[in-house]
Amino acid sequence: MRTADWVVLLLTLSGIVIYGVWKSRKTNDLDGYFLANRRLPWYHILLSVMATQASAITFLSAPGLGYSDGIRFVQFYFGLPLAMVVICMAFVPAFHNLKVFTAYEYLEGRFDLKTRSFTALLFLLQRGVSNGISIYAPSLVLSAVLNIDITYTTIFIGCLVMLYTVYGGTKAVSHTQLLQMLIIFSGLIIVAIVIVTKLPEGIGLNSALHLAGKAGKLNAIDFSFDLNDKYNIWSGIIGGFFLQLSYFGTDQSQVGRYLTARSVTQSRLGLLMNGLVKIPMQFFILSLGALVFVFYLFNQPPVFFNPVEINKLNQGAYQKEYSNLESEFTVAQEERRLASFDLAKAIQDQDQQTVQKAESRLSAAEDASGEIRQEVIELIMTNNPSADTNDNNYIFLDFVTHHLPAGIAGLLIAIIFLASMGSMASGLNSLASTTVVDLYKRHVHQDTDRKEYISASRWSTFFWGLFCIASALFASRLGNLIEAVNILGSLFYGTILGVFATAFFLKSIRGSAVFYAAIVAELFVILAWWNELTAFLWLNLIGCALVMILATLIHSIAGRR
Amino acid sequence: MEASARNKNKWILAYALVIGFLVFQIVFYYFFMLHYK
Repeated sequence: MRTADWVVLLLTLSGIVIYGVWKSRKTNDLDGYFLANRRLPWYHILLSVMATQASAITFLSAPGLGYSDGIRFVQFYFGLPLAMVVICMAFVPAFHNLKVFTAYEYLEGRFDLKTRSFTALLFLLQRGVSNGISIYAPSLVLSAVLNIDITYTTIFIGCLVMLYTVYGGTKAVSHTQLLQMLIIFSGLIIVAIVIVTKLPEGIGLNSALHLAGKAGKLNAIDFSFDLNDKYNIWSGIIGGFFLQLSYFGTDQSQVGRYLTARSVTQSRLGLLMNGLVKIPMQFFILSLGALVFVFYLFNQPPVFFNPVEINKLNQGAYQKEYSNLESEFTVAQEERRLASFDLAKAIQDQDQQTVQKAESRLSAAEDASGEIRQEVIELIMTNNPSADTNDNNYIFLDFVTHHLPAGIAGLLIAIIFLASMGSMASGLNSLASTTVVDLYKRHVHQDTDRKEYISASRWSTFFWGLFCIASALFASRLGNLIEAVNILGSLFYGTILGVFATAFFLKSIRGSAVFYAAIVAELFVILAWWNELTAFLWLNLIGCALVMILATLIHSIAGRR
Repeated sequence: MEASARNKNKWILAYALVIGFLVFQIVFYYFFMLHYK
């Protein structure tokens, strides 16, 4: 990181915090603190729900996935537009008309208090832990790249967010998210332009995409049906639909965003626009990863992207072996580079025979590089048995810090911070609102004055901020982080969605039936995951269906009695 | 036509547009993949 990068980073972060505090300076009741007085327009809702969902994990893991696995992860979001339509039809009118603060408040009127409290607790458990992962992920990577202890990066991110979230509540969150997303979009477009300009002469965007395609990185759609396959169009549309429906329809961190709209129409417009824009955005981010792959065909990549483990190798007993492997990798990389030039030229000349030969040559060069990389990974494991051998999350940041011009690298690092802060802020706000409205106000102090509720809200936000920082500091490595967050979601979202789906679509079912059905369904989902019965996306469908079926059964048995 | 019915039809059209755009994207990404394979 150069001086210009640090200046841009610190200016951007301090600007966001000051802006958030300034915009929320007149917040003095629960309506203002948790719902921004229900006055926000659709574009605010749009950017807010996008900022809430797109945490730093999106900007670290997604390009890394695009680099290593290709862009098929885009299928994960195919269920989202369908979920937006259902939410606009059923959830938004219900929540707006009842003027609820939280999604779970609605459940007491529809079912009973115990169902409301149980669902709220499931949410608090899931969101509290996943918020910790959302801070841990970027902290881990940033600490490696900036060479700062992870404790400090975690505490730094956590404290920055708590500063404006505790003070200003939802208003601060929504206004900062608007600014954050504008900065994020601008930054990503700049990165895309820079990547293409840094390709060798004669290799433009079209050639780069051809090379990425030949290397299997543009495998966007997979029509095969396999319950154990993570990313295909069926798990994306069906499993993803239930995941996104539950996330946007029942997770307070999202419900709280669109309840701030000035009307049902504005909420719906914001959500529908999200349904239009989200998939192209993810496609773009994944494609950045594929373009970084192409960039590294012509430029020397690190043999392993996590600098912490490489430093340990260089300072350890296996330094000589590593050095030898690095030399071999450099030779293999040269072959990759030459093969890539040949392939690009053959494609431009439209000479199919030469294309096939060049493709085979590149494939062989890839295999050779891959073998050397695997040997380095084994050496890392030998040197440090507890090492994390998945370096996906470091790929994009390595490119940013080593190859982007001064200032722009700082902007990208700031974007990683901003994305993390945006998600954490929504999460904190939602944890606080559920704690105060569904637990404190409902069970402890039902009638007290406005000032005490605001004070309780601020303390609650503060407590959850500390909890999230603490859980981030103690989180051990969970493999691919974007998967870890979605696995955690899939463990709880299905059941929560089942409760709400029963509420909306099975009008005759009463509180006790759905309450006991939810408990059984949740236990089953956890057991199914523990025993690896199916890919995690399907757990959402299973949880939801089980709640609805069991609730119907219990209701009919109780009715007969 | 009643205002509420017109309003409902507008929303149905909006939902159809969103779903239609999803279908368009799936087709687009599929042919994008084939073109660069």
